[in-house]
Amino acid sequence: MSDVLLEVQDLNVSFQTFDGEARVLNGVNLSVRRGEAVAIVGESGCGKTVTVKAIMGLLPEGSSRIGSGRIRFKGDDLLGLRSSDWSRIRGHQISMVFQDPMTHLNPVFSVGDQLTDVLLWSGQQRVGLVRWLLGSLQRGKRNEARKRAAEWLQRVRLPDPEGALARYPVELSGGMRQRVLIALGLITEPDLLIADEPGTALDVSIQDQILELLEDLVATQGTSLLFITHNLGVARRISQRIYVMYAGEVVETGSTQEVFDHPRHPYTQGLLASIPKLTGEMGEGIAGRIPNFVAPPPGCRFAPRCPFHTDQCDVQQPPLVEVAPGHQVACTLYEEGASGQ
Amino acid sequence: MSTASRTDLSSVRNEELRRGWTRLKRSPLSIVGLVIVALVVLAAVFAPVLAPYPQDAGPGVHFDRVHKPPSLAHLFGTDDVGRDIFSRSLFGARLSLGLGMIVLAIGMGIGIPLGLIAGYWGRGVATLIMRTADIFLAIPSLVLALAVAAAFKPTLTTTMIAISFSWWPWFTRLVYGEALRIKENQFVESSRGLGASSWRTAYHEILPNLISPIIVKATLDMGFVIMMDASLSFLGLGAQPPTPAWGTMIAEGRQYLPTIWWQATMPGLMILVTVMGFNLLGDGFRDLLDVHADIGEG
Amino acid sequence: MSEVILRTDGVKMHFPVTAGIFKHQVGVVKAVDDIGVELKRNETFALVGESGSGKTTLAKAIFRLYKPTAGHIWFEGTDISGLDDLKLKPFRRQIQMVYQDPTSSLNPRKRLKEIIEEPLIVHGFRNPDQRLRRVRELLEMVELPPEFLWRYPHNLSGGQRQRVGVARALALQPKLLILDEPTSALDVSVQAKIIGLLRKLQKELGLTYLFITHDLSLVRNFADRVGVMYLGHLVEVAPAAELYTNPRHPYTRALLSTIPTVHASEQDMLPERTPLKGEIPSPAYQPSGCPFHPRCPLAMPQCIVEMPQMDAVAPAVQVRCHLYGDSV
Repeated sequence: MSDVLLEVQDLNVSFQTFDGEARVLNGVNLSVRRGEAVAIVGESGCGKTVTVKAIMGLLPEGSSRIGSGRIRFKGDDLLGLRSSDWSRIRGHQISMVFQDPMTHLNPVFSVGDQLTDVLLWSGQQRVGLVRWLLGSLQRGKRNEARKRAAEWLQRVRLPDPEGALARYPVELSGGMRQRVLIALGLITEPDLLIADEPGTALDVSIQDQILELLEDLVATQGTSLLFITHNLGVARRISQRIYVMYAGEVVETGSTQEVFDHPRHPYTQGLLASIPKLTGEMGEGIAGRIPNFVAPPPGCRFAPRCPFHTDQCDVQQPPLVEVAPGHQVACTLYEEGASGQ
Repeated sequence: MSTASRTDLSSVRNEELRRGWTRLKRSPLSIVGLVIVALVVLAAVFAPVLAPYPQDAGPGVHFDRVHKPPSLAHLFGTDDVGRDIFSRSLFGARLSLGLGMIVLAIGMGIGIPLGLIAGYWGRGVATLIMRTADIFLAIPSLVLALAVAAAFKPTLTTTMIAISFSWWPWFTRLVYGEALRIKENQFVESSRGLGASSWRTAYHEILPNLISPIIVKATLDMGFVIMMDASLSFLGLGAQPPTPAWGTMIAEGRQYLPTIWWQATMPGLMILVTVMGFNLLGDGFRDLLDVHADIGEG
Repeated sequence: MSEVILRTDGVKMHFPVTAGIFKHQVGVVKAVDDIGVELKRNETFALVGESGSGKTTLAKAIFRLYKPTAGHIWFEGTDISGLDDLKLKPFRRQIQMVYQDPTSSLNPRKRLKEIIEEPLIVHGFRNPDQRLRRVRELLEMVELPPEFLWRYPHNLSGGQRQRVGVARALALQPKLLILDEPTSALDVSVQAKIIGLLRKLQKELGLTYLFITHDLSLVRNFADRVGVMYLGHLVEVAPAAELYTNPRHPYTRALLSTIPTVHASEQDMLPERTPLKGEIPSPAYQPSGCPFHPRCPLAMPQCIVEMPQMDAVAPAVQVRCHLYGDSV
């Protein structure tokens, strides 16, 4: 399948902790096709951020270890990349928009400088001070970059884009900073944009504006979107396909519509039920807490909290089985059906 | 108190101690520090018993064994008047550690309350306290010590006072900064919302959070204070001969270098090893006392 | 039996803005401006609004962490707005607060027993046995196992920590609990548990809740009545069910229309999508007239000059909007 842009296969990541080796990701599989918006949802500790960091090659060296697995992006195996090759990909073909716009914008450079620097230098492995200074002197190139930066600020609907170029991050509101960050992520016209809960630190009305903006931009650019969130409402709105993660495993995946309308995995069901609805319904939540990653449950990691728990669940990790076209669930409840295929 | 709760608490404490010990064990350098400090403390406490020639701590002349090189009889050799340097070094540990502890006690006694007051009550009081601290910090401590020693008679007590005066502002600064940070936590607001007095909030909510940085700083500072004391003694501003202070001993032995190398080197090694021990231990404490470090479950 | 437990009357909370080395006042931030609300005994009253709306400031004024600039706060018939610390102390037992961040609201250097016991000590319970008994009782009330007594907060999960926060708030048997976004830092599956617990406690102990939040879906499930705040003003007060089926203020409508939903059945409940333009202005620069008019899709010339009054437009529903005023 040539339209698969990113494919993560059987990814295992562990971290060295005081208590021993914590197996934080356990055989994660996921894929993003060209032009597709995919969401990873899960609660804290589910491994969604680690997955993304592994894709971006940003896992802390030393304390983390990628046990096995493959991450293929446009045919390249990202796990085998040297750091010099990474600069060709990271920030260029794959970019990222972070949750907290304040810490991910450099406070001492103006918005314009940060955007033009990305345009001028992204993809280069190392830009020495001398080269940077010489580059700054190249008026023509720089002016062109500034024009593109202003264009992008316009596209992210920042009021007064020309004026905003000269402003510093502290002079902008949270919503505006998030817009700048989105511009920063998209200005190199990447093939894949990874968004880590952008806007969730902001008010609902601003969050709504940010989501709308992302939806529009991704659609017009043809950029693929991998959206990480704990907010299922947001995931439902922005994605076509969804991965539900729990304790370092993908427990359910399918088209967003299908998963939300017919959730199969007990965890997905519990999670959806827990969300307060406008109809006044709200479930009781899920008892217990996320398992210890050093000594995880032997079988299904959700088993200790699962209302449908049987002995079968403790035997081995259930594989993902297809329950409907494109809809896969990792749960023993559905295994009988699968064995018949 | 019911006994059940007490046993509960003690078993929880045991478990915490065990975990703490396991963590300490993983850091070999902290263990080295701990062992060195323990040995120095033992040496200091049991100096009269451990020293092979306890009478050499004071004045005395033994013409029969002047400047003997290190041997089994005299581990560190003997000095210009025939006293056993090993015995004198053990007594020197006593002086250095004692002085260090007193200086830190005075420094913490003044510095911590002032820092807490400045940090918690803020405004005018803080300005007054912190500017005063700045003034003290602006005077190099060695110069201050020289001034104090010059104004009074150079004795162990004046050294101690001089070092203490230059030391408290560091604790004030540490506590002030930490208190400002801790004050922002909601548990401080909660304490105020209960109607607790400012004193109670400062003492029961803020201070417990300061204990680990204070322990770390005090341990690291112990090394510095010993160095400072040695420098002052070396310059003749601290303990006067024949008191067996390490600095004084180096000063006495200096003129015989390099031939009679052991007379200056041995007390010097004692300083080196002791200061290093405290620094290693301090770093170990820093890792050990970090609350968040043991949430390894992710 | 709709007895009023707490009533505020024209409460204002203004903070001076100073500049320069001599700290001369250059302006004023009207964080809370002229708020009158009534809390009935045993109900859950929710204050919703975006950041900068003044909801937390109002809660802190009611909790008397701040002294209101103007106005009165009547708690069971006593005006507590001007009381000094000493006179306030008996009321502190009656009004307690559960904080937003379960990490920062519990002292990391204290064991749970010491944390939960603190209110008892401050309020003069001298007998340690009695205190311990009460702490155990409180742990049971918030459904935490008794062996947690000697643990430190960092041994607990977020949800468990928030239960400790609830236990501490309940220690003195208060009548009114201020819940300042108690679940916003928690996962949804944990949030549901905490909300369940709060509901149970309210029923058992006859508590009144003042619930501060920005989560409108949660309000629908948890609150009896809702007050919507914008830029320091209350713009609409209505029973929860009414607010969602018939939102009146344009701001309320806009807020509701942007809620991300998870269920198809919810979609029909939302008002027509009217996303808000722009961002909430800083409270230091209050627009003239109705504070919402620069962002309001239905703004009229009158809105720019005249501040609308809070008008009763239906039983138990009040709206501050010229669309519903007498003049229209």
